[in-house]
Amino acid sequence: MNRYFYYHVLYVGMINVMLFVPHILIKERFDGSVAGILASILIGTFLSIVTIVSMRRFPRMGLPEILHRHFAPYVASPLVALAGLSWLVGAVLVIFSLTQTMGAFLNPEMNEYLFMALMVFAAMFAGSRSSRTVQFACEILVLLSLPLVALIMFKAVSNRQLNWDAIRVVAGHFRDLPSIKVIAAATFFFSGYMSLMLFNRLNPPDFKVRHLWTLPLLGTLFSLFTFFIPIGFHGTVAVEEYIYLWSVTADSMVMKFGFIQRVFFIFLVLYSILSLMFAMNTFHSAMEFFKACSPRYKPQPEQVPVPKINWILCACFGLVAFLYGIWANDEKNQRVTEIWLVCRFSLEIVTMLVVASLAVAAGRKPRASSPARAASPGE
Amino acid sequence: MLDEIKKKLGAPADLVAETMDNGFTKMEFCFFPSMCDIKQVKDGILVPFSYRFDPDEFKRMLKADVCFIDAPDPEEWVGMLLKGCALIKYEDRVYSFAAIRKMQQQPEDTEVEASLQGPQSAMTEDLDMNTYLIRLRYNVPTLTIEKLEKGDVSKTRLNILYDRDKVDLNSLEELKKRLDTVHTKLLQAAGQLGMLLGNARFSMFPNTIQSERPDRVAQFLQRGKIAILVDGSRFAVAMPVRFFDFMHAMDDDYEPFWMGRVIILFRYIGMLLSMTLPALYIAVASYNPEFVRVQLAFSIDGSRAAVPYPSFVEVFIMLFMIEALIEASIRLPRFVGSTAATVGGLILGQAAQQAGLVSSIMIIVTSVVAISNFVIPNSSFSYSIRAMKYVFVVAAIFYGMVGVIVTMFLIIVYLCHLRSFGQPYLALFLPSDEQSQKKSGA
Repeated sequence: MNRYFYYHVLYVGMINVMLFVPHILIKERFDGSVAGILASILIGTFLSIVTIVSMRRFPRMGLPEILHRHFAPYVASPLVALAGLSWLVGAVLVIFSLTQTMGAFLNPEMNEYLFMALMVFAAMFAGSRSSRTVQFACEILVLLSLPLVALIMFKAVSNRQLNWDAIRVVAGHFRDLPSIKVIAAATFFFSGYMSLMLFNRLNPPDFKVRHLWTLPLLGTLFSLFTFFIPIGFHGTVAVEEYIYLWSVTADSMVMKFGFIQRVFFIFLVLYSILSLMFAMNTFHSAMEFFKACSPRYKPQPEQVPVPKINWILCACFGLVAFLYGIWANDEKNQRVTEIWLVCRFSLEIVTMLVVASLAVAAGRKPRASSPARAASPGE
Repeated sequence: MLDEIKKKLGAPADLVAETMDNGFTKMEFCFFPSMCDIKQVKDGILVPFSYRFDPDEFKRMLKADVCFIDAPDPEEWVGMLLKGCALIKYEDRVYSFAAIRKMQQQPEDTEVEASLQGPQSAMTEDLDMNTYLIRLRYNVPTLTIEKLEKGDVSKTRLNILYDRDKVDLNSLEELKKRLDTVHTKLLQAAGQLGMLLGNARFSMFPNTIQSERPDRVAQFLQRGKIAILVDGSRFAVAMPVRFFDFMHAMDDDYEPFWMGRVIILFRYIGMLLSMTLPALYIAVASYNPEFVRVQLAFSIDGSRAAVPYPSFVEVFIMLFMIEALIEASIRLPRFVGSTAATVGGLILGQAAQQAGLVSSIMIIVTSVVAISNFVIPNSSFSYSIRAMKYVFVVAAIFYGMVGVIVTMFLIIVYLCHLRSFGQPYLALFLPSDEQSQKKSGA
């Protein structure tokens, strides 16, 4: 069960490319990005570990169940809905930027909305499955995409065109104070643990996330990689010219052998899989959270056949994604993404505070079996 | 007794129904010679009754011999006769003597699931023989066999086999629930039962697996699966199944470990190619030639120079040809079969390309698709894959490369979504998981 948790960490750690995180960071590369990344390593690790350790107090419970257990419905339901909404917005943003990327790089002549319809349908179908299905699918998809990730990483690092001096120059600017936007963007590398808010339902009662030390390691790897490799390819100045920064960076690499020449297409395949996965997970989480707004709702991680309400909710999400696609353009989308990143960051802090304090409260109760466990670091 | 039976059966010409008289006493006797083993009838009834007759011994035999079963109920008589029993009425009591004629006396050779160095014996079309073959290979006291009859007309006998220590009780329960809902007139093949059980109408992938190999069934039983043997079919149906079961051939377990893994890997690659290659061809030829290396894009386009219509028409022509060829070579009698293959090969080979109907690359694609489809060890699964490739083709027609990627994603999610008798269809289980599952279950 442990590995399922890490699949979420892995793909969320990589999906940031579709949410303009590299672009946001690069824009402030001379004033605070590096410090922001360093700070976010600390903040992200702290947030994730405290939340994970606190979640141990609530075996087999997702965030909605925890909230409903400790708060009255009129407090809990809006909070759950808010969390669901935050997932939903993430899904909508990723679907939009996936459509834009694919439209721009693969099928420029194709009708944008036709394209969006396909993506929305895929996310709808996948998101409306049961929680267990989503988890199984995550595993298979992550395992399928890992070789592609390894290939791209290898190609990037071993590339002779990569200018290490440029990277060193930018890395030297670590003394500037970062803005909140940068920190919010950079903490997104660590956000994979948030999936526990829903998928903790599936974990066995004595579940414990093991190998917690890998969390900061993975996050650091992803953040440094996403931030510095484009700088190495495009130079310290030219790098800010691109919105779809990583697509262009991937296009700077060539494979000498094989059917496919441009690494860029591998990158596109990888990111369409990752985005669809992200959309699946976020649609699913949002759906489950909205369903759990009612305090009487009982979570069912395994439901076959798929109930109608799943389809209805996901269809609504799809409609939202579609409407957003009609309203947004690249510029608006970017602004919304930045706002969302900051909101998500603050929500993560709130979640951490709520879950941790509830865990402490639960630990203080005399009937708690093992008080030693409550004394987790950071509380 | 005889009159009643004759009345019910309408006195068919192949029924022997006589009153026998050996000089001391009389016995009513009837059976279908075509359905009974004459030798057994002779040894078991005729000889003791005629020239070796001894009234006391004969009575004792009727009472003690397990072959003779009391049949007091006149309603049962016709059914017993039709199954191949001989009925006798001696001193006002009716006995049935099971002398069912068996077609098979020994296991057959494997035909569908051939193996190079594994066991060569396959199951037969006789239920008892099959049960014997499996008991022989899976010789444990916990092997449980339940008997059942299905089919309103055919009254086909079924044996449900499972290891009661290892079987998943939820699956067993679900199987029994589903068996109760199975209503059919004629049940003639294991595949038919598998289809009726597996909700096949709503699933694009098989929900049960068929096998003719006793060693395979034994392995399934050992893994806690349930097997159903159907009388008159040389295949056993096993459930619950997982995606990986369909890609597994018995030879993988009999060859050195790494050789087996490599072959399995090739099989998965073959499956992927057979599903996606036509769609990829359409995507590259019509939407995204830049996806592949420039030289390759040129040669694909160059080979299509003489073809007057879009790539998907070409794909449909060739796929239809190959499907027709495969179908023809399965159904045709063996004497004509080779002709079909030759003629088809000629068309699929040079001629179609020289006539400018299809490109030469498309011919390669077609043959790769066909050959890699044959690599899949299970035929019902390979049917599924054959059908799946059209989904990819349609997606590629409308969306090009993106369509292929999204379809792949959807199929993976769909496979993960499927459940076979309550068990996940596509999911990795590591040994540690199963242990922890058991722990949490206990």
